[in-house]
Amino acid sequence: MVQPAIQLKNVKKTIGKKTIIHGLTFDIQPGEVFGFLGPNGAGKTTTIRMICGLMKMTEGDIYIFGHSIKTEFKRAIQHLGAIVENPEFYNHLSGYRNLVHAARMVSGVTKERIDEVVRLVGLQHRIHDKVKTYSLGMRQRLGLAQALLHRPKILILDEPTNGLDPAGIIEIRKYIRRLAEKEGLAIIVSSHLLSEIERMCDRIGIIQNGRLIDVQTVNEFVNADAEMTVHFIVDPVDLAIEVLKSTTGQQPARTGDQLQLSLEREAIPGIVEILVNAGIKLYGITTQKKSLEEKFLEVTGGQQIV
Amino acid sequence: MYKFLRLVQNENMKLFRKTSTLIMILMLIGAIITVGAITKYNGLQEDTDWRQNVKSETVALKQQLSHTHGNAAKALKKQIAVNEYRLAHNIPPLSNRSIWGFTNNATDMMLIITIFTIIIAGGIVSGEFHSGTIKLLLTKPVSRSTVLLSKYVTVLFAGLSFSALSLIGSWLTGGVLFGFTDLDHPALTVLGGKVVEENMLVHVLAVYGLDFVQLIVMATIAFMISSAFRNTSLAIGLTIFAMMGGQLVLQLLARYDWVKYVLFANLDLSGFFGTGQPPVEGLTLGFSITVLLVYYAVFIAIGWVAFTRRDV
Ligand SMILES: Nc1ncnc2c1ncn2[C@@H]1O[C@H](COP(=O)(O)OP(=O)(O)O)[C@@H](O)[C@H]1O
Ligand SMILES: [Mg+2]
Repeated sequence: MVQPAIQLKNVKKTIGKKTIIHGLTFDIQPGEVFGFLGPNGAGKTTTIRMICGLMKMTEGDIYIFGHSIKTEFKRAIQHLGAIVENPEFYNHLSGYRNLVHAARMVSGVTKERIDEVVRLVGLQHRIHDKVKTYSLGMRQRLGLAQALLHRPKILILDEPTNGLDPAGIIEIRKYIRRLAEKEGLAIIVSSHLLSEIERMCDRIGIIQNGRLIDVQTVNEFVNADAEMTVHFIVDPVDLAIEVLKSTTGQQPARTGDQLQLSLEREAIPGIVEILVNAGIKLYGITTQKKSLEEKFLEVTGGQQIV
Repeated sequence: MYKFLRLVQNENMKLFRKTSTLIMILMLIGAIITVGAITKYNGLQEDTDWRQNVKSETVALKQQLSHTHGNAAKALKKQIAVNEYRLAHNIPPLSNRSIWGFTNNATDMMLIITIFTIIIAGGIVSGEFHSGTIKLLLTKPVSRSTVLLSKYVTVLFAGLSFSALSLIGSWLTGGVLFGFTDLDHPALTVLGGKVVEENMLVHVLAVYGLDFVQLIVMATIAFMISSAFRNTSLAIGLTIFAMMGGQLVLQLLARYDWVKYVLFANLDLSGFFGTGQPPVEGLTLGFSITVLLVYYAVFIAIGWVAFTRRDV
């Protein structure tokens, strides 16, 4: 069995009398993109701060390729590149000097390597401008460059799509998939945006009120329950409602000439046959899997996502 | 060690590329040139008969001595001895309008330099917390102690650079305004109860050096507050307030015996040298240095513990 990239063992964090993290235990494998999903205030950033050694844990331990972040900080942290919360930089320096600053703190980063990551994130035209002139998207890219500079085996991104426009989000997703698939990095991406994380992660851990509620692969998660929402475009609508009601026992929801039912995949051909036999004209059928968001709401008991 | 030097390099890059630091340097140079220009073009004509001046000053000092005791009396006696030596060996006092006279007066710039260094020390740690960039420093394979030490060394380096700039800048300004002449004019000072002649460069360096002790202590206080409370204004405000209020506190406490354990009673070591006087009775150089070292160790320990232990 391969050594996990990151292992959390019963990690707890108490600040004052308030317990923020209640014993997290999970592993992340090399080459895996792990989505850390939860509403605001769930404890994602706190957990990430503990993984990066910024916060001490009250109990438990975190191992990075077998090295404890508590007792072997330098050996553990060298495998890690991170953007914790917002990508913050020295605004009065150029992007390039910010990278030089980062390079001086680690070993073995050459000038060529700096140029390489600058090209990787596509900042070559603006890299000598001061960071204070950068847009959020550019800062995010500079953050990525800074995190990747020393060729870490683990990348941690805390809400990387926050505040980005759709193009920026697609770009980040592209980088993440490429780094995991081509370079074998283990990546943790936290988010409260379910639709985002669904598309870039292999596995998702749902955290709520400092507890890990569920860890599943994205496929399991979405397919766990084969039921889907099926839309029928029919005429006459009233007759169709009656037929559907008597065959399935459900009251279909109606929008104009569209009817909506929750069905298993296997049941669809039978229903179509019945509708056609009843003389109902069928103009179209669309199916829609439950989104992760709906799933997420189910799992967390319908708590509002902000 | 190599890593440490690169961190110091980083800190210097961040510090000396800040507009505020550049403004400090310009203000310092501007102040020196302004004072030089005022001395040259606006001062009263100095009396040419220096002997008469020194004689009458000595008479006044002796009169003062008859009703003075303690440290102040000792200081007066030394001044009288220096004056008598001047007359006997025909060494006129340094003119304000000479290269060394001006350089010697410009040692007062150390007050501004100390305040500038306090401002830098007060912001160098808390500024990283304020901007969130502290995360860039503490998620790298470098210990927190090393990060903190690199910042502390940078603060002292900045203070040293400002002092060197002041010394060299005032000497050059003095030379340009008053001519590079009379360069071997001696300074008179009292050493082991005897008046001795001293090279002016040695004398000026000694003044800077003694003031630098105070700079180190005040910058360390600001640095400690900056690390412990992560608040720049608090660090700068408290330290400058303490520096200004320190002498007042001393006067209020002067009648107590334990006043000699107060930090501010021991900050100005120049009283133990030349014709100066220690601010409080019963101090010795060794005692003051010991007290300073104890305070210093406490400040460093508080700053270090706060920075290395607390969550970010
Ligand atoms: N320094 C702190 N002191 C007290 N409570 C904190 C501190 N930092 C975070 N919290 C609390 O811990 C919880 C988790 O916060 P956080 O990890 O930032 O959540 P997320 O990143 O998932 O939005 C929140 O309820 C927050 O109020
Ligand atoms: Mg967060």
